[in-house]
Amino acid sequence: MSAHSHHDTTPGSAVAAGAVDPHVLEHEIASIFPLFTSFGTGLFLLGCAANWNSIAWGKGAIVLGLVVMIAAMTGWWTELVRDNKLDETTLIGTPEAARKGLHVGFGFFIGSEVMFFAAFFAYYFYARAIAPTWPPENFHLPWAPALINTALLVTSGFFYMIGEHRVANHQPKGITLFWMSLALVFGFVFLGIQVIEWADLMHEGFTITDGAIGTSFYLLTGFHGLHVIIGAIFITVVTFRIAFNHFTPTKHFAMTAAGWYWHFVDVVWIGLVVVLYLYDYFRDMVGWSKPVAHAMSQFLV
Amino acid sequence: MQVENTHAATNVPHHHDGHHGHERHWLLSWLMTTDHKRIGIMYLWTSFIFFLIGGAMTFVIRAQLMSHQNTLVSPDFYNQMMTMHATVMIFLAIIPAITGFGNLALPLHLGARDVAFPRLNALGFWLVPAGGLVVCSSFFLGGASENGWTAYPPLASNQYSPGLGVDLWIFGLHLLGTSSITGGLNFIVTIFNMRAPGLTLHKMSLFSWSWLVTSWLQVIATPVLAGAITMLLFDRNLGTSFFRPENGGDPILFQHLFWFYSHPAVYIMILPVFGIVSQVVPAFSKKRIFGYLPIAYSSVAIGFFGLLVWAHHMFATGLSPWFLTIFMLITMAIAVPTGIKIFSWIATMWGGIVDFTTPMLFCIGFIAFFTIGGLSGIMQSAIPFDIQVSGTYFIVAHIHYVLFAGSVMGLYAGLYYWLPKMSGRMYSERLGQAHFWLTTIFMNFAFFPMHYLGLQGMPRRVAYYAPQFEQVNYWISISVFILGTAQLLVIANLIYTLKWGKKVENDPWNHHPDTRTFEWEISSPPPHYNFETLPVVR
Amino acid sequence: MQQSLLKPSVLLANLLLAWGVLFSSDTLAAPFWFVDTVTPYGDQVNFTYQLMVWISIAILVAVEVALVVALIKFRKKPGDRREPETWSHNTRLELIWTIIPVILLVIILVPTMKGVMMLADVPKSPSLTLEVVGRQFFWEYRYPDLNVQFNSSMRMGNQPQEPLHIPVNQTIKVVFTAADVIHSWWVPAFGIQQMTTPGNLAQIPLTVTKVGEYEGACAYLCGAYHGAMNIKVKAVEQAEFDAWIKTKVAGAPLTPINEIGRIGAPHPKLDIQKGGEQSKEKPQGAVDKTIASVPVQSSTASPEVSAKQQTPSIDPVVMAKHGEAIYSARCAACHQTNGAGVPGAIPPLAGAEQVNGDDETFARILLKGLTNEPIKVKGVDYKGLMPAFSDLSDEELASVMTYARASWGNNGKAVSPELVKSLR
Repeated sequence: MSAHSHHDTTPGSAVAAGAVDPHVLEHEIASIFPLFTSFGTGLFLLGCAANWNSIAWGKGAIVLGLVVMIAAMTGWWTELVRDNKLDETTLIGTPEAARKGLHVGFGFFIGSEVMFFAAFFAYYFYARAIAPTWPPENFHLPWAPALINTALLVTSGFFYMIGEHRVANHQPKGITLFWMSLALVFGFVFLGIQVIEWADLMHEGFTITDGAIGTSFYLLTGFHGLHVIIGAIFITVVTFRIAFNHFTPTKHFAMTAAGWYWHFVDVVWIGLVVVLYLYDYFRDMVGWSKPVAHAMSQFLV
Repeated sequence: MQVENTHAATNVPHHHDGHHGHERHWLLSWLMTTDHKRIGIMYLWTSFIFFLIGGAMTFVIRAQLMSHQNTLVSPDFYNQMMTMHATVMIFLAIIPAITGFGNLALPLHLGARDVAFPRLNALGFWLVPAGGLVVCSSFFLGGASENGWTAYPPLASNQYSPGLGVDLWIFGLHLLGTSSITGGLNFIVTIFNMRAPGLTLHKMSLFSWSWLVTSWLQVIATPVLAGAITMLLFDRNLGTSFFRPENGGDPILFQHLFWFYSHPAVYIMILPVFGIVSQVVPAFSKKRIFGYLPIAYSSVAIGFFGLLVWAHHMFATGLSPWFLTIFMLITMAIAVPTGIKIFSWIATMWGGIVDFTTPMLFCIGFIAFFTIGGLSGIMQSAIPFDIQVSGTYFIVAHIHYVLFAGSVMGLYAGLYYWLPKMSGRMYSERLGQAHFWLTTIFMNFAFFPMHYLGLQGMPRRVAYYAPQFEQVNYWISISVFILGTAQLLVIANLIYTLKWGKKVENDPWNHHPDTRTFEWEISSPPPHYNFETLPVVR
Repeated sequence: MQQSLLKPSVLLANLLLAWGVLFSSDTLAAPFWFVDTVTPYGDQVNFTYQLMVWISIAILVAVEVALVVALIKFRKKPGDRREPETWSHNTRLELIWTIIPVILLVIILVPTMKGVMMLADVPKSPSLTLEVVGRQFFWEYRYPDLNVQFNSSMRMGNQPQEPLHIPVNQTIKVVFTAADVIHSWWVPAFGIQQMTTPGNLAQIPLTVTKVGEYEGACAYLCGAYHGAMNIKVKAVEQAEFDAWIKTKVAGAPLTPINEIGRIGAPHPKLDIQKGGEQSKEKPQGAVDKTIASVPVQSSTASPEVSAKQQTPSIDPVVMAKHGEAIYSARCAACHQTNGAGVPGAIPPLAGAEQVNGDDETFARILLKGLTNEPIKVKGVDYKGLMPAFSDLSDEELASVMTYARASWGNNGKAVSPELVKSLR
């Protein structure tokens, strides 16, 4: 325990950091949107619960809640974009601190999303371990759409990185917008193929109620698809902002964040493909995996 | 440390009541505020209201339990009360109250003007009343959840709990969990990024350290709860098979996922309170905290190990004893850093000048009685003993010692400590002392006998019990009624303070320089952006 | 502090000495509220608990005494010119109060691990196996080797409850599961508790060493009547046990416990090569029909009736007999063997308008249960908290309904399985 490890409170040792412009202190970051986002979401969820329980006003609550929620979130992000222009970030800290803070904060946000997916992957592995046989008889997921979709998402991520590189290097925005749009198109094609795959499977009788395999498949791909939609919306907004010249080579955090989100969605997808589609094909090739899995299931379950 | 140009002298006319460049109606300014101090105050008011609501449910519970086969309420309504009592207390009272104090004091301790993301901070607050409304609306829409706050399937499945109650419970928790995640995220970034120049991590207050660890737990663990309750929701409404044993699922998986969050949740509910005690005890002992680094690192240890012990809530499930032994060993290990804190607080008082103000009294009560909860917790970490008392009143005793004697008393210490700073007025010491003594005495009368009940054979979550337990239950009920009523003294004191409290200056507690954090250098209440010039630490 | 007589190390040494003396003294080794245990494992738990209590008392006393002494000795006194001390470390002290708790924890671990090993030591070829199935809100007990099945009853009012009999001084293997929701079988005197989870089997060894009657309770929240779901066990000598067994032998082989607890339920068969079929219905509230929850009284099952026929062509007497077995297995726990229910809680079936009225109402109550739907029976209001019995087959439900109508002065009209099927 070293001597200086305590809170240094010796009086008279401070130096003024330099006075802050009083005009800045007059301005307050205030927003009505957090309140409306909260209550709008609450109303939406209330409506979902009511609707699932056959209560008449459920659907109305869902619609109204969604409208309020989306309007509030849109208003909020509009405020943020406006903030950026006014450099309000200096109000509560230095611009450098704000920049770093945004990166760290968004990183933790993605971390929390990883933990959410972890719960669903945990279900998948657990259900496999306790199943008498896996995969179920006569069952295999069609792997062609999965591989095509992997290629689509990975290349989409690559196109996005090209766009990022161009913005960071102050290159003409016309071609940047092309790459961004291409990334988006690939993302939408991905979603389209997923929808078709779901429709095909359901038509053939494989639904979400089909035991552990139905649950895992639809929930993992479903939540992943939801995140792709969110990512696609994010990238769409970023693309528009590029068109409106909101970004500079050193100040384009929204673009960085959307990129991180898109890559995260990519990584989850690859994990999903390996675990849901490919693992069973290769499991028997890896000789040690069976005894290991057996030992673990004995120990845990 | 001194901050130059403190506002007493050169006050630019900024008050934190919202009158800035453009005038705004006072209600609108509170609804739109992103000021951490105001958000903190809103958190505290909201949490106190829910604390009283949860307390009202306690009265129904204890009234039913005054006789062993009472017909005061039907058994299913009793189960609603019991479930919602815990849900409200955990998610709508304690966690928001703790976050409220974090909001009030953390940026001030770090020498910052606000948290890193002020609007997100406001969202974190507004999600609490929104979530509370969703959860509590279930009472009016066919009945609340009756499955305990732990909501284990299959009881919580649609087959055994049809209707809206559990779905609303789940959705409410989604909102409240999001509040927790965004709050934690905000605090982590604030701590990493917005400390005053020269304020290294090893110089920041122990309150700040406690929030550093708590925030990590919130971000890592809460999403897993979101996953678990989402799975339950889909099992109920979409026919999935997460927890249906007849269709490839397993109820035990819910327990793993639920407790992966809910164990760290109890550390979320206690670590910031440890932080409060680490501020208040030195202040009223006029002596620097003993063992700053061990206390800081013990919080890290508790947080880290706290993520690895969830299955100690599952000792009676029939899982492999060797698997469970790992969890037992890690759980026992957590006793060591916790003990270090208790001993260090006492060593802080030793050799100091102890002033028995109300916040100090609550800290003393905390140290004296949280220890009982900690010891019963260690006993529960022993698998064979836990199997014997799992699901009994012994557990209820443990829970209430760590949460009431622990969290609630520590939160009261924080309330009385910071109330003069936030309001600019001193509370009534007489009312505070009365509150303390009534609370401490009747809390022990209420919860200590529960150890006996559990050991002798009374299970928990029951509306009816065996006749031989009636006398003790009667005693407990009376004690709880008095304990609950005593909490109204807080309201009385708040009214007194705001109307007639003596005005105070920057440091009403006259901190010894070794114990004075930044908020005591500025005016009471603090000015709008806290510091006209940011403090610099050498 | 360095000069104080209350030096922590001295204090601690004294405390340890006192503790050692007290703990080893028979007269003071009080049970500390633990129940008297009658199994070797329970004794081990009891011992572990006593050790932990003494250690906890020692720590608690140390903490409280140190706290009180600090507060008295160093309290602010008016006119006091004392300066507070400025030290904030003491490495030796901090090491002591880190290491001693570790040592104490290791001490606790020793009897704890012995207990864990005792619990894990389930006999591979036990002389007797007891199966315990948790149900809302009673326990279904089975001795599969002896073909015995016995259901407990709820604790309601002053109704007498027949206890489960187990033989004393024998190591029984007990296997647990649950049929509906999670329950927990807890008998404090045995020192054991086992959560019973649908889809899971758990097993423990049980050796009761003392004749007597022991009380227990369901210790996991299982629904509205969780508090009434108590346990009564009577440990008896072999002769008395054999006599009791003779009164409880089931007429037909018992359903395997795997099926009741839905253990290892097969995967739904999936064949996505077949097109177009949406044969799966949403299993909301539906339970796998392979579950047989009740032993069938005779193997001559009622012949199938064609769907077109309105009047049942099955013999009501045969159905009522079948129904009696189902009633005693699934209904009597609440509605009682004499159909009288429990005043204030469970409606009677004798003379009830829901039983004697139209078939649809009666069948619906059994199929869907009642959740929070107030119901008036013979002029008295009841809360309406009845589980659904949709896991029983059409024949089984029709039989038990026929039995109820044939008993206690009811109207005697039979119910057809087709009606039940049409209402699902």
